[in-house]
Order: sequence, then structure tokens, then C-alpha cells
Amino acid sequence: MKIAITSKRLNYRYQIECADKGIVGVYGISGSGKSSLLDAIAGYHEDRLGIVEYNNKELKGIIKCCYMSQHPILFAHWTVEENLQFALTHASQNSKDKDQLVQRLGCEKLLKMYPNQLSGGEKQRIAFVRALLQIEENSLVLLDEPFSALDKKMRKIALDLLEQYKQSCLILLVTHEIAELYQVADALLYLKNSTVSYQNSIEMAMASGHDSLPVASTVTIDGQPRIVFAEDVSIALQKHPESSISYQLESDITALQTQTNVTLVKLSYSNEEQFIYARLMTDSIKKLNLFAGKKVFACFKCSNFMD
Amino acid sequence: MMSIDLTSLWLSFKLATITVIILLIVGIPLAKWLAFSKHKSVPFVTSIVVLPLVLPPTVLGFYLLGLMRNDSWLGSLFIQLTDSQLIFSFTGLVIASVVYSLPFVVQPMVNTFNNIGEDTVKTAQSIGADKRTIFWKIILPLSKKGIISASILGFVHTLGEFGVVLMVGGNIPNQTRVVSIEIFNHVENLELQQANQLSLILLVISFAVILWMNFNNKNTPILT
Repeated sequence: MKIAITSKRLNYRYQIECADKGIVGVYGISGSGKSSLLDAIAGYHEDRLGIVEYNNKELKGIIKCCYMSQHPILFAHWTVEENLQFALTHASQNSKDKDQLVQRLGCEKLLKMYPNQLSGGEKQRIAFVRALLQIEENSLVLLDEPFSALDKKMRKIALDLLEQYKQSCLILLVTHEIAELYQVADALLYLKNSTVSYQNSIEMAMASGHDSLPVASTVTIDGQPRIVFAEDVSIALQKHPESSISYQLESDITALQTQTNVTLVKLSYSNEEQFIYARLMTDSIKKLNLFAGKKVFACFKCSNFMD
Repeated sequence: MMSIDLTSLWLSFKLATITVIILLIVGIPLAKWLAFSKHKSVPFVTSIVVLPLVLPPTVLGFYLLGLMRNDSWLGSLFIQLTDSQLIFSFTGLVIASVVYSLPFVVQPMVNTFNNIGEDTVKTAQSIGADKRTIFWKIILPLSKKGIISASILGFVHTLGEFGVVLMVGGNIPNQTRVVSIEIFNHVENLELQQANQLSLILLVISFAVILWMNFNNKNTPILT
């Protein structure tokens, strides 16, 4: 996908290039232009100048896409079931797919209800089902904070679903939960002041520490890939068996990167095949006399892992 | 108690019904255009539609009279087509009523369409619905309440018109003598009891309709 667009009225300028398939995480502080980027791609801005190209085709005007906005609109005169049916009549999936999605997201009891009878979270689940129902081969899926009102368990189910679909389409996912993006996204767009301040593969983005992007790495624990943030990792010179810290990985320091009073330590473990980062106070580096090549223990708890 | 001659009342009902039907056919597409179009002429057309709301009925009637006179293009065309004159006829009265009640029907419809909001339309467009489907399956059903209110308002307003009717319709029994004119005639002839009875009927009907609308439309009471 290639995007090079501007709007004078909304004061944005986006220049983006990414693969035509997979999940692209869109991240940035509130007001950085995440929603307006999705609106612009969907064709909602009449004064948008420039080019949006997807699958080598230029997209003009309001396009057919699976767009779930931050405040999704369900048609008030229809029941949930009728709302989903409406989406289905304009898509290639069938009612069996609908039943499966409805069941997966626990929406069976909502089908006969009207949108004004739904809670925020319920509305979001229905709008998410609707967006997924519209997905076809090469669909463009735009999701703006789609899970903000969902609990942890539901978010996990929803994210798993997205991973199932990502082979066949391009999903732009806006969320404030950076851990979720690190987990499911293939690439990351970091927006600031309505421009793209950083874009890269997710692995590069996780290690970049660009602006307010938290540094993290994927660590395989008990056969499962887990996102571990540098903030949550401490360094010890010895293993502490009598400690509540569950993970103490023997590792080698491979690099130190100091920024005034904070230092980012890159550690390799498991025969140098995997990396983990620790963000420490520079004073601690001096106290422990840490240097590249030194053998240490990377310590972290696992309470933040999503299950 | 004297029996009341209800001919004029029925004539008014007939006029109001036909007027509302025409206003629905003309008003819905017009209101949709005014609500959703970004064309430069929207404020201009809106001003024309709203004009009868602020013009004295006699002024409106005067211009309509000019338009429908036998020697005007519309008047003469009508004579050629139907062999009867447009002025002082029921048809002429219908045309005048449509113009006079236009803002009362179109303005609430525009508000209703605006309340649906662009986002609803955009959502439907993103789903892949075409313009026709969006209008018939989404906009129209969502505006049902507003359209019913607008129609009733147009109906009651047509029942009550006087100045315009007098100018273009005159005072012909069974043809153009509607209830408001009939009441005026009764008063002029000092037949106060008949005037009172007809007035009371109109008052009760109008109040009942507005009351019903305000009960049904708690969030958007009429004329607030």
C-alpha cells in the first residue's frame, strides 16, 4: 500500500508505504492524527489531496472497506441481526460465518436487540463482527480502537481472530495498547502531529525506542512468544532462588546505550539467538559495573502477559 | 342547536390531504438534497423554501396570483390543457397551498435528515451500499418519525391558511371556499354561532394533532 496525502483543512500530511497484507499497527498519542488517517484512507475527506494506492489500484472517494470507526455506527432502526445481515448482503461471506463469529465473540443474546439497548462494549463487539464479516480476499480493514471497551479475555479472542484474517487482507489497527500491537502487528506506524514520525517492521520498531515508543522484545517462554518491555526487566549479577521474580535468564550484555540518566542494555540469551532489553538508571550501570560482554541475569515478572 | 354546514371543512381536508401528498413527493427529495448536498446553491434554495414562512400571506398570494393569471404563461398553459382557468380554481388553490406550506414540511425533514448525520451515510457507503439502497433502506426508515411530523404539520398548516387562499382561490362554494374563509364569511354576516362552531372544530383538531406530535416526539417538540 502506498499513501501520499495531505489536507489543508485538517492539517495532515501522511506518507506511508507498507505491504498489501498483514497487520499494520497505528500508534501515537491522542490527537496525533490516527483517526484522521483512517478517515482519510476510507475516503471520508473530500478535500484530501494526493494518492492512496492499494493492490496497485488507486482508491478514490468513499471506498468499500471494512471500517470500524472509534464510535461505530449501527443502524438504529434495525436489530443487531438485521445490521449484520445488511453487511452480509454486501459481502461474500455467508450466514454460517456470521453465526461462528457471533458465537466466538459471545454475541448470541444480542441478536434480537436494537442498538440503543446495547452497552458500549456490546456495540463494539457487534461492530467488530460486522467489520470481520465484510472481509474478502484483498480487503482493506480499518480498525480504530476497536477493543477499547472490551475486557482482557475478549480482546485476546478479537486479536486471535485478526491474526486469522491477516493472510488475506491488510489490517490497519489503531490502539493505545502498545503491547497488543507488538504482539500481533507486522509493521508499525508511529504518528505525531498528523504526520508519520516513524514506520518500520514491528521487530525494528520494538527495538527502536523512537520518541515515546517503549522498547521491548519477544521472548519465548515455555514455548510461547511473549512481549517483554525493557522497563520491566532488571539486571542482577547473581541468580536469586529465594525471590518472587519468576524469570531470571542467564544472559550476556551485548550493548549499552546511554541517554543521560537512563541506559538501555541489550542482552543476549539462549546461545545468543534471542535478545532482551533492560532499561536501567545509569547510576545502576555504574553501581553494578556493567559492560558489554559481562555475564548477568535478566530478571522479570510475567504478570503482564496476556493469556 | 343549529346544524353546521361541513362542506367547507371537507374541502379544507381535501385540500390539505392533496397538498401533503404533493409535498411529500416534492419535499422528501428536496429536503434530502438540502441536507446532504454540498452544492453552493444550497443556502440560496433554502432561503427560497423558507421564504413563505416570513412573507405576509397576502404578498405570497399576490405573486401567486400573478403567476396563475389567465394571461400568464402558467395560467394560459393551464387553459390550453384543461379548458378551464387556474385562478380561482381548486387546482390553483392546491398549487398555492403547496408553496405556502413548503417550509413547514421541508424544514422539519431537513432537520431529521441532518440528525441522521453524515457518518451514518458514510458507514453505509463503506459497507458497499449504493445511493438508492442507502436512501430507501436507511435514510427513509430512520426519518419516519420526522416525516410523519412534517406531514402533519403541513396538513394542519394548510387547514389554517387564509390570506393566500383568499388571494388566489377567492370565495367559491364547493370549489375554493375552505373552512377559514367560511368562518370569515360567517363573522362578516354576524353568524357568530356558526363561526364559533367551525372555529372550535379547527381549534380542537389543531390542538389534538400538535399535542399528539409532542407526546410522540418528546426529544424534538414542535416549535421549540
